[in-house]
Amino acid sequence: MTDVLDRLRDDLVAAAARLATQTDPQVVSRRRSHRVMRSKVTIACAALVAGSAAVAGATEVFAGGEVDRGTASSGETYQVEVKPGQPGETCMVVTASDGAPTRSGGWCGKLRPGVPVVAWTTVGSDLVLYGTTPDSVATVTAGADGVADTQARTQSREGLPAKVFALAIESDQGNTPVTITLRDDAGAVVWRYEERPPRQ
Amino acid sequence: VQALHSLTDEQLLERGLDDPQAIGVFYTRHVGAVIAFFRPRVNDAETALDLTAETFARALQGVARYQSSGAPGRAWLFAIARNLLTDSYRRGRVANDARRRLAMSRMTVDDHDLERIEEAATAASSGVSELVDSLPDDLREALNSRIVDETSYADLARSLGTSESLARKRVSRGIALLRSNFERRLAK
Repeated sequence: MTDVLDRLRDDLVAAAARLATQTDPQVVSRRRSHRVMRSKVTIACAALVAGSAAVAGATEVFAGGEVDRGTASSGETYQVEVKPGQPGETCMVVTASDGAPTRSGGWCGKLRPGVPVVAWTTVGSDLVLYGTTPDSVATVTAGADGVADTQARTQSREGLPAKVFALAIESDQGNTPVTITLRDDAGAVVWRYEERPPRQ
Repeated sequence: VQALHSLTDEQLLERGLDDPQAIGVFYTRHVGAVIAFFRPRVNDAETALDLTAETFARALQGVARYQSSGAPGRAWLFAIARNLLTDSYRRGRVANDARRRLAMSRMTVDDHDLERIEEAATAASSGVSELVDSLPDDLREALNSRIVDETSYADLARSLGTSESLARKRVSRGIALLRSNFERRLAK
């Protein structure tokens, strides 16, 4: 009888072979989802900062709600809406232009360095990002598969609001701690959030 | 395949999408450690296997992104494992998204398989435990506190009565010594 761990290895190698030839339509679709998700996050962050002259004051600035539209580098257009979240929080809601409710993502947070941020994006049934809740700390991941993105850098400049910012998720030693940094066009840091190591 | 065994983790992952066997070698090198990571954190061997399978499937899916990250391969793999575990606790079930997308078959296991998983977990963890035990007291304490208990550096520094910088150095030295001892042992 074949060892269970050998069977798993064979299955994995076979999957790698399929992936290498890119004949699996689900995989191709999956890769596309990644691009879309990243673009959306970038749009959200870009709009998040673009609407405020001072980041520290962003919560108040956005609390009344603003709407902006952008086009991802993938060519898809999105509506970005700013909504109040939980007390003291601001949420960005990104919705596909077709309004499909399952293709929306968002970003909520208190926009001050060191304060917990909750972020999420969904593409289809995939939960993409999540951050902290008041009583627990989860790992921030980027990628619809939940794979830790050790150095995910996204930048989208097409059709975005006037000011464009890049989102960088950086990590040290296995994705902990995670630092999310927003930089302006000149590369200056306009906002930084550091995630604490996850505890279980 | 034999030639692949001489490559580093990072080189294997960089070849991952072009040479499926490289993924197989990477898997063989780390599957024991991954099972050993999951086994004490879940109730049964089958769940540990499930988590292990999904971890490697996610790693395979993320290989393209890994290739531009430059992160250490093993640390990257365990970050995936840790995220998956956190996610599984939160959802109350083990996700199978990556395996489903990669069309990997669901593993069916019998009693012999479960014993094999327990063996693999024990073998991997006991080897490392011995090496950890052989570390000097101060480094072992720092390493266990930081890696096993996931204590923050700030808390670790407080408990050790040192600065955060010194706590980081101790952990770093502990890891370096552990790695060196581990490699020496593998070479024997």
